[in-house]
Amino acid sequence: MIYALTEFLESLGGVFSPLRALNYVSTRSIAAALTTLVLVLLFARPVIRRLYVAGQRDRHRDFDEQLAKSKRGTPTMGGVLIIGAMIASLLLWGDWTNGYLWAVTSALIVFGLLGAADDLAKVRGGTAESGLSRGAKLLIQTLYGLLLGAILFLPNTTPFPEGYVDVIGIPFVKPEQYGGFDLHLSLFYVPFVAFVVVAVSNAVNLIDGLDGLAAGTALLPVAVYGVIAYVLGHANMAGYFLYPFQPGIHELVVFAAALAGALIGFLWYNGYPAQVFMGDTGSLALGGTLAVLIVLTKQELLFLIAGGVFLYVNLTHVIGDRIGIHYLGRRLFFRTPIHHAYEHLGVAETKVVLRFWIVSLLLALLALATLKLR
Amino acid sequence: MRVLLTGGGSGGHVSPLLAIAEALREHDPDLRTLYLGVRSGLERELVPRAGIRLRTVPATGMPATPVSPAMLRFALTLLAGIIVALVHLITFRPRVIVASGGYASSPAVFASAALSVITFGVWRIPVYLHEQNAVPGRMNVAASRIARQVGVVHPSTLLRIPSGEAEVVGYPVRAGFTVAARADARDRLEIPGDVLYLVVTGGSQGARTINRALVDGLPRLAERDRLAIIHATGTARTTDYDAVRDTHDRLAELTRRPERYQVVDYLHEMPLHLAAADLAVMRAGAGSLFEVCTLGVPALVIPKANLPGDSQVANARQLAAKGAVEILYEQPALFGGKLLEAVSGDELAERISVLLNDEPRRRALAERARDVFDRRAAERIAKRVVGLGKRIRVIDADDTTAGNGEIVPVEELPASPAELRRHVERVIGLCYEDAFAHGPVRDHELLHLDDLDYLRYRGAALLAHSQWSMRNEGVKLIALTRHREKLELILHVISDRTPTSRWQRLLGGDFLHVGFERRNAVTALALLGVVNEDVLAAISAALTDPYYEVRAAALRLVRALIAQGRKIAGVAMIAGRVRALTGDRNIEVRWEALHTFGLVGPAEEILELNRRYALADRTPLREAVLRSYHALLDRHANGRGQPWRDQLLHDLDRFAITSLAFHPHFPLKDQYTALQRRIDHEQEPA
Repeated sequence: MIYALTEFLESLGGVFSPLRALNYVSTRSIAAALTTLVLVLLFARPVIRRLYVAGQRDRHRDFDEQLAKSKRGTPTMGGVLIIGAMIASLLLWGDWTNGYLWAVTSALIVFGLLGAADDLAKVRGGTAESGLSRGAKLLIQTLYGLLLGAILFLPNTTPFPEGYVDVIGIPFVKPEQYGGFDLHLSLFYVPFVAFVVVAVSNAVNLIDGLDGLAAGTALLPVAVYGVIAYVLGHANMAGYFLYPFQPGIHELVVFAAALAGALIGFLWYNGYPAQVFMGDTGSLALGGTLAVLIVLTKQELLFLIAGGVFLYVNLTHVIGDRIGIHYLGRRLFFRTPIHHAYEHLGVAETKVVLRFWIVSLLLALLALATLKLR
Repeated sequence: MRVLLTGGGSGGHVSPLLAIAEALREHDPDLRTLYLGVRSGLERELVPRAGIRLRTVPATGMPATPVSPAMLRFALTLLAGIIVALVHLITFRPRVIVASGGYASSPAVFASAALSVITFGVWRIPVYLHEQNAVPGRMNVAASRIARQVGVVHPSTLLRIPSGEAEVVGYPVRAGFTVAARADARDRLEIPGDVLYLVVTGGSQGARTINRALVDGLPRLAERDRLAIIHATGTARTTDYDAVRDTHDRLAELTRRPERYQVVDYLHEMPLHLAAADLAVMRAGAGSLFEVCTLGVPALVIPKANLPGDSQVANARQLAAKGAVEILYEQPALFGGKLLEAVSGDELAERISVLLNDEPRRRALAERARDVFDRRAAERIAKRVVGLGKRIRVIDADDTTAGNGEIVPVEELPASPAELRRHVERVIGLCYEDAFAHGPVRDHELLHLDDLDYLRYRGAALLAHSQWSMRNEGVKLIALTRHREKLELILHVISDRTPTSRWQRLLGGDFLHVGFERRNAVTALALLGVVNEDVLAAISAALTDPYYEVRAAALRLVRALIAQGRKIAGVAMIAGRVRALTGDRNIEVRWEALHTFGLVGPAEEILELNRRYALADRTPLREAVLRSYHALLDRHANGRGQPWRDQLLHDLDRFAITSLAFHPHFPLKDQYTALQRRIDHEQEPA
């Protein structure tokens, strides 16, 4: 709204022209981040109280002896805080004429609703198993991914520059227009997008098992993709870093900044010992939006570095759980998801989370280093 | 009215449909029917004889393994079946589909759903589903979601039907099913009045369990006078088992058998023989049970174990609860290193003898059996089907208590083994993982378990299951019900070294009895509470098992046994093994071994070993060292006057006490819990 307002006032000229500063991407990004941060900090307490009253928490009366030592009873579904703050902030600071913003916001809403449905089903059923079935979740994720892929692929609706629609960026390799090489997927681009959406959203969902782990670990890839969106959306910088210029993608910087602000605000309450969990509402929404950021910036392969922690957690889970526990009838790791293996080895939860953050930071820096290393 | 009948694969699914068709024809003389079945099923014989047109569709049963070539074949067959059934639906244009379950009925039922979707709900053919088994199969559960109305035989089945309108309607019986009077039947078979007639059959295919048990039991039965036995072996001929050949080979080895013993491959006039019988021994398929019940024959049933949903056992238990049959469970036993379900000949002969001697009991069984199936079931179903055809709902007020009015409620135990095990855990108040701390299951804990015999049977039967996850639940059930007679099987699971499939070995599997099974079998020993030479041999095998959790569990078991004050023969040998495991490649085994060595090792060696781990990086290793010191002090009265006491103090001085692990403690939750307990148990807080 502020973007539209200042745009209008600025067009009147005269005394209003300094308002131009409010329309710079950098200004709006920081403003959006601060807005989500403040909104989350302000609204967290009443929201948490309400979640508690609404019964959005897991409790087991039969196991009350464990209560003093466990975190059971912590309200879940805190993702609504993140999503709410994001939407408010983006309404204020976003440029809603921009297609990129619509795309990524759609993921926030669709995946948020999917996660919320799952959380509500779990609370109603009373156990972790009574949520939506794996198949139902996967189906909706895949459908969304295919739809997004189709929109990005079709010539009438694609936001990408011509000849660059079905290309995916390769780290350390220059694009063709700078004398390098483009990897064209042609029709396979659509299922590839669906794959990225499903994989990344589930990856975040899976890592959400310790206090502050998902929010903190996802924060850094979000920041990395914000920086990349900034570079891609700036003609000079794109030229300097040898990226194809994608006009309009700078709007994703505002989104990424808002998300980062919301995550930091959420960590305030989600840090050990957590007052609130994000639930599937938060983790699926976070994963879904991160996936769309990745797809829109065309840096899917870079996520193997920037999201290395996610890759690690997921690969070990697939091997350890699907192959090991379900097929072979034995453990291949001490526990999966792998963060619980460290707990099994006697590392406290707080320390595991901190170490995962450090590794995530390290990988984020590595990912940023690839910007120029080509 | 046009009605499509579908179902089959076995006789139990076909004859109810024919009964329904017969009842429908009375309502509507212009009834036109088409039967969709499978090529290989019994419907090929029965349906044309009843004057109904038969068409076949491709269909197979759903395999138990979720990801397998068999599952792919199943999915493709189902797809093909749905397409064929769709063609039949479009050409025959039925008003109603009546399905009786069995895999043969799935294509038509799913095709009706597909037709509704394709035509956007314009062309909807209502489905009436009749479920005869106490526990419906997975395909029938899926079909019940599509069906407009569902009728069941057993009241408890209603709990397992997820949606749709379900009610108890009974088992439809053909009006033309004439019961040969007992005297007539005996005359025709030329059985003298004072001779007891025993019919033994495992169905048309035959049952290995029944055939072998009967042959083994013949010498004992030969001790009786005035007993005639007819034994139908069945015609099964698979790579594992050839019913006729196997039976005759075994008969040839017998030195003694009853005079009036006759063995045949197949009994063509089964109803006649059953009508003449004083006792029948048979399987517990829905069809066979229906036969003995409608004829009112006292029956001893041996339900086939480990079918999907354990359906035969569930059927048999339903009838046994009503006093209509007696059950003899099969139990797995080791045959040449392989686990097979079996009944011992002695046991079968004993049960037969007891029943033959007890005429009042047999008469009671026959009377209760005759009451089980309500003859009006076919009429009741026909009314509903006609209602569906006219698109109206039939409610008959006088008919709400279908079945017999008097139904003995069966305490419903969960059908799935995992849920059954959780049920037992809840009742005993013991989580399987806590077995070591708990020690042997105590008598008073078992008192709370209703139907302990069945639970024990189920656990043992599961051990012969083809899926490891089922065998794993079997191991747990045996342990939780303290089924000590099956100790031999538990030990077999631990020490059997039959390799698993090549695929599994390629991915890191080792033996047929997978890691979890072996680990839980070791844990089972703590609950069974038997220590003898065989158990010690198994423990020592477990200590060198290739899978780390088995080694770790064995170490914990050694500690648990010592803590219970068990005398362990050959403790020096075990101490040597434990000592070796302190250098294991797996860190969890290492810390369990360090701890255990404190209970079994010599003091000097313990101190020497522990010193090496005083600065270990991993917290659990150092924790194990401290626990082992505790164990050492326990053994030597706190070390008073021991030569190594000063050395221990010296070592502890150099021990790293930084810990990466901690347990949170929330004072607020303390207060909350204390308050809750105080209210729940009216207890003063400690």
